[in-house]
Amino acid sequence: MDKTAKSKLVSDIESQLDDFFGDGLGDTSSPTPSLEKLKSAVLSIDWEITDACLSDMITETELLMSHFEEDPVTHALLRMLRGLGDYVRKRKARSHPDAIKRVMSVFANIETLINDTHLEKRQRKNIVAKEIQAFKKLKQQVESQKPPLRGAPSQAISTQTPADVAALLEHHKFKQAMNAVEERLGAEMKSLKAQVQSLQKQLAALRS
Amino acid sequence: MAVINIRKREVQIKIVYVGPGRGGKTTNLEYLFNSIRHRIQSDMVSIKTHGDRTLFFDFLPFDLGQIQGYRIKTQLYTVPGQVKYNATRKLVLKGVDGIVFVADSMAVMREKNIAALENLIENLTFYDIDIYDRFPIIMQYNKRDLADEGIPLLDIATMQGDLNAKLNAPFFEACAVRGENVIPTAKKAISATIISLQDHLA
Repeated sequence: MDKTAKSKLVSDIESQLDDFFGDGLGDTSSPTPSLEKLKSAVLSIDWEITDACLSDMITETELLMSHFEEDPVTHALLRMLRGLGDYVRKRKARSHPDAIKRVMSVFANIETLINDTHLEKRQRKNIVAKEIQAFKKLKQQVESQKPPLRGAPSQAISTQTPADVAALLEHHKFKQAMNAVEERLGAEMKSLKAQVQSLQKQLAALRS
Repeated sequence: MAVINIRKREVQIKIVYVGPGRGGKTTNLEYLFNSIRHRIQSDMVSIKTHGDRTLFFDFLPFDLGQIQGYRIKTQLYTVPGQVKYNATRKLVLKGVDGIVFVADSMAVMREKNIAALENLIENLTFYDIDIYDRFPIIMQYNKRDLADEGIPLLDIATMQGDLNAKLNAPFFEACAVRGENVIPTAKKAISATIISLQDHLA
């Protein structure tokens, strides 16, 4: 390979690599500077969940929300991210284990919506629709984890699944209690039968 | 060896990130993936242990686009750095076209860096690859940021002397967790690999 051909190849490769990776400085080429701050906050959460990280994430999300007010699709995901951040901050270790997964997923999609300018409107809506669906599912799971309200026992019973009921029926204490009730009822029935027989005998004696 | 499909005008190259365990190989790939995920159709595949260590490999395939009429398909791999997984390392190195050696800059890692390079040379010899015979390899001296936290680091001259004196490969000082010099390392590795491939074919 002669020198001219080689230098042309090198130049072509470098140009293609520059096109593909940007200017090689990675994150600094981002069109939205505060997205990088949000990314940093989200990655911090991936590493360690602290109040400071969550506050950073919420602050950066709110900054972006004002920036994307005109873009309802991105704005919806940002609102969702803020909601998730608020939830994790309030519930801390008691948060649903999938909450952080949702934070990561919502952020990844926000990044896609902001960076990928070639996405069609339909594709953008699909991304949001999927996230909303996943968010609703998480919300339902969170609701189902909540303890029953006082004074509403019927609601608690109605949320039991057939599997819960089967497990309850198999429990040895439940079985013991059932046996005790059966024994007591049996004894009472025996006593009632004896009383009935005695009364029948008295009646027969009176008739004769 | 690269897969070249003349009829489809496609070239597939395989670049493997190697180095001692906990050196930052996976972090390099994760950063790259996060930087290009919006441009590529593929996903990054990672197989980890419970302790978040690479058990088998990480794999990041992407289509780089056309260079001189050929579509360049790039596959980036990492290998597990832990010593006990040599069989996996050897397997992943099969058909490798280029190497990024991710060295850990911490002073306590000096011996492990040297051992990892020796292990690489040994594994490549198994595939009849002579690392000293114009094989495309890029050195990355990772974790340079740890100096700010007061952690003793190896100076660059020492690392060059330990790892790159004979190879004389291009090298980068990096901080993979912050993404510093991650993309330039990958770009250099890809370009060196394509040029080496062209040299072999010419």
